[in-house]
Amino acid sequence: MTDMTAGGPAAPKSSLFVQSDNVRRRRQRGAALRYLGMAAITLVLFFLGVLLFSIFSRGLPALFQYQAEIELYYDPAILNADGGAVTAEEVNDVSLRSGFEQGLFTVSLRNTIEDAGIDIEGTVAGVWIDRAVGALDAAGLSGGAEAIAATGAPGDAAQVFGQTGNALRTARTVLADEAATTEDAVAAITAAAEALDAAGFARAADTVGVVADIATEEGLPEAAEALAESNYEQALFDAATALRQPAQFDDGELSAIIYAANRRDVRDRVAANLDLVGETDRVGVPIAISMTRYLSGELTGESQAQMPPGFNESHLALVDRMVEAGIIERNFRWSFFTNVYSQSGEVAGIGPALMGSAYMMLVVLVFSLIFGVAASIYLEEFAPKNRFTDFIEINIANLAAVPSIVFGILGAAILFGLTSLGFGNSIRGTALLGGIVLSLMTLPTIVIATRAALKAVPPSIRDAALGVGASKVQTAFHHTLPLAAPGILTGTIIGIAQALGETAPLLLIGLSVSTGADILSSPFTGGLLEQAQSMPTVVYLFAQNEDAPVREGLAQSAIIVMLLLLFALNILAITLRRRFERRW
Amino acid sequence: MNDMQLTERTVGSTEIKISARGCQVYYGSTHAIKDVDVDINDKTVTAFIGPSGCGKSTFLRCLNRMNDTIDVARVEGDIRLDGEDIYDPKVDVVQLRAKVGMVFQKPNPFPKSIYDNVAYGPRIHGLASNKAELDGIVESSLKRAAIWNEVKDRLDAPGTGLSGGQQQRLCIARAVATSPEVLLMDEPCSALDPIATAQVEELIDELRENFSVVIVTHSMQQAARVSQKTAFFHLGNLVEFGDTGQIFTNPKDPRTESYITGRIG
Repeated sequence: MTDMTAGGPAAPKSSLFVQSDNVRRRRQRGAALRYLGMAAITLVLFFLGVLLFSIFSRGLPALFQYQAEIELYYDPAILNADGGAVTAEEVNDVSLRSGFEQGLFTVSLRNTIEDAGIDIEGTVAGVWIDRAVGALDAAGLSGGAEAIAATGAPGDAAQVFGQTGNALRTARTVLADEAATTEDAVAAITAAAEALDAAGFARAADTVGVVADIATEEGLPEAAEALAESNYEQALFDAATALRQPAQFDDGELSAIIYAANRRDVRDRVAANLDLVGETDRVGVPIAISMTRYLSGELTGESQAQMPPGFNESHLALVDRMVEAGIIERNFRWSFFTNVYSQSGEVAGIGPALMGSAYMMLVVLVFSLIFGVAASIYLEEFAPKNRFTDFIEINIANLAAVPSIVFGILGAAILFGLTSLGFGNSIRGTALLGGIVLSLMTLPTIVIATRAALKAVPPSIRDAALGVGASKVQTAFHHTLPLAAPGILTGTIIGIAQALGETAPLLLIGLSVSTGADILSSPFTGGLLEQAQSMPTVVYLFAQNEDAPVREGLAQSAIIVMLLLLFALNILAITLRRRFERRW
Repeated sequence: MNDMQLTERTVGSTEIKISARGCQVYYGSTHAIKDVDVDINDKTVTAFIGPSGCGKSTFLRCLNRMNDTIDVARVEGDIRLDGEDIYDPKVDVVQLRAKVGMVFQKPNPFPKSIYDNVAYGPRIHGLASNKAELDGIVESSLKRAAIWNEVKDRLDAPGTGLSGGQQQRLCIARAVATSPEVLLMDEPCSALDPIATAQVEELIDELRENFSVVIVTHSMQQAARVSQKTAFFHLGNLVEFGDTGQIFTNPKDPRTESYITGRIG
């Protein structure tokens, strides 16, 4: 024991409260790394947010459809123009377009609208009168509404305005003519002023009358200038043009609002059941897809650029009234999941694509799980460790990194090989071929995941099994494999999810051109050998559509469905893993 | 060394169960076991002692060909079980391991129920023709491993949920369930506390009535307590082999003496 003096603590060699330079530098480096990491995460989250927003903001509304609920009247006059009893042949001879869509559906639509108390002609005319009055007001021709009302029908007003406009034009022509005398000019101007007065624009008549005075006192060029200052002539012609429009709003214009997607079904139904003739049915008919852009608020309809292609204000006004009357409603678009692909956005669906993808997943599951797990067990548990197995291992790892389009080329090569062998095009674009190609692609993923899972099983379990006299096969199947199952399952589901989203190889083996694919039959009755579509290729097809609503709506809707499927698969993977993972 | 009580040194049988002659083991280019000759008697506890890395576990694993699972291991020489060469190409290791059971250093129950752990061996070897028979085997094995009273009410509980000592006894029950003729134990008590060790040692003494037991241990006290014969390994050589009492009280080789007195190892 050395002598220890009782007392306070010794003076520290360096204070704990003062940060040394070395420590400060280390702290700074740490902080920089932390901020970099946070910045990276923020950036990733930002882009993810943008992606999800752009998909969901366009895709979700497209999953809803505006439909007109119409009282469909199976009109014998249309179904059988000759009179007498209606026969199935006659019904089948009626044109889908002119007889059903523009006939049966349109007449029924008109009746439905009118039954709801909406005056179609009045609504349409109101729009155009408003526009005419607006044009007149803008030029200073006040009292346009009264002037139109005074003439009676909009058509008559159009005629009066047209004649007035012509009188003004004549006056302008005379004033511009150097050979014309002052008397001629005054006569023309007076005639125009009288026409204006007669049309009901007294103030404008006075204004034009002043021009006559200018012509006599100052000369013709000055008068022409004064006349040009007032824009009456163009306003009158515009008003006349607008007022002529209502007369052109016929059945064709009305039928443009709806898309009678189910016209063929209706014809078949009537042909099969002639009792329906003369009866009335309540059916929902989709609204034309470009009109839905107005209904959804995407287009305001206030200017030409904001107008849905193919429509004008009168359609919009009528549609507004129909919405008010509850004829047009926004419903969830269940048919999107069952309908077949179509160029027309109103009826396009992903039915065959969903089935095709499901079938391909089935093929992938069967092929890649069986072959993948078998290959992994062999490599991991039985194969001798030598150069050959090393070579195989490296190649499997490399295979996982091969671009998917290469597998597509392989699939195409198989296809062409089979075609030249005389199998024709029978497997082109089928779920079987697609599934095989995707299986090849998924195989390495599954092999790698399975081998990792098998490697993770503690060797003591193998020792224990071998120690009680289990054979290698028994050890693998009784102990190693069940313990590795959660990992294998997860790897398989991730592989399948990857395959579900794969597009490139499928485009090469004909799934992109199978636009006519129908709902597939059961996989056990040849459904695997029918023309199929897949989710990613149908997204591709939608994204290439000429119609903006399809390109920017349905493509995103299909992507949402696909994302939900992937999400569900991942949840399944996690659940199964949790469930089967042995925590004891 | 007060605890080294050399009680009951009677060797159960003089019948030779396993005999090894000129046994060599190579791990790749490493010569791990050099020319080992050993005779293991029936109904006897034989202890292998020696410093770490001296090859006692390696030699033990030769006796039921567990070294086969290591790719680089190569065994030469002649090891006979009841006069039959166990490395003969005609021998099926599965049958060998049914006769020569093994208990490992670390308790390694299957992640299954206690019942299934014990029943697994009898099932794959077809030792029971019906459920009742299997139940009987499971019960008697667990009783032999002195764990029956602790687990009889929860045979469906997972074996991995037991304590370390219980797990090791469960592994012993699993090993004896296939009615082996020889039981190899590779440091069975190294992961256990003194109480569990005492239970396992007691158990080994009881097992001697039916089996030939070979135990590898780091603890000389344990070797002295449980074994009748002791083999001392050093650097891959079998230095000395004889009755436990003789090895511990009157070692012939100076290396043995140095080891048991604590000067090497």
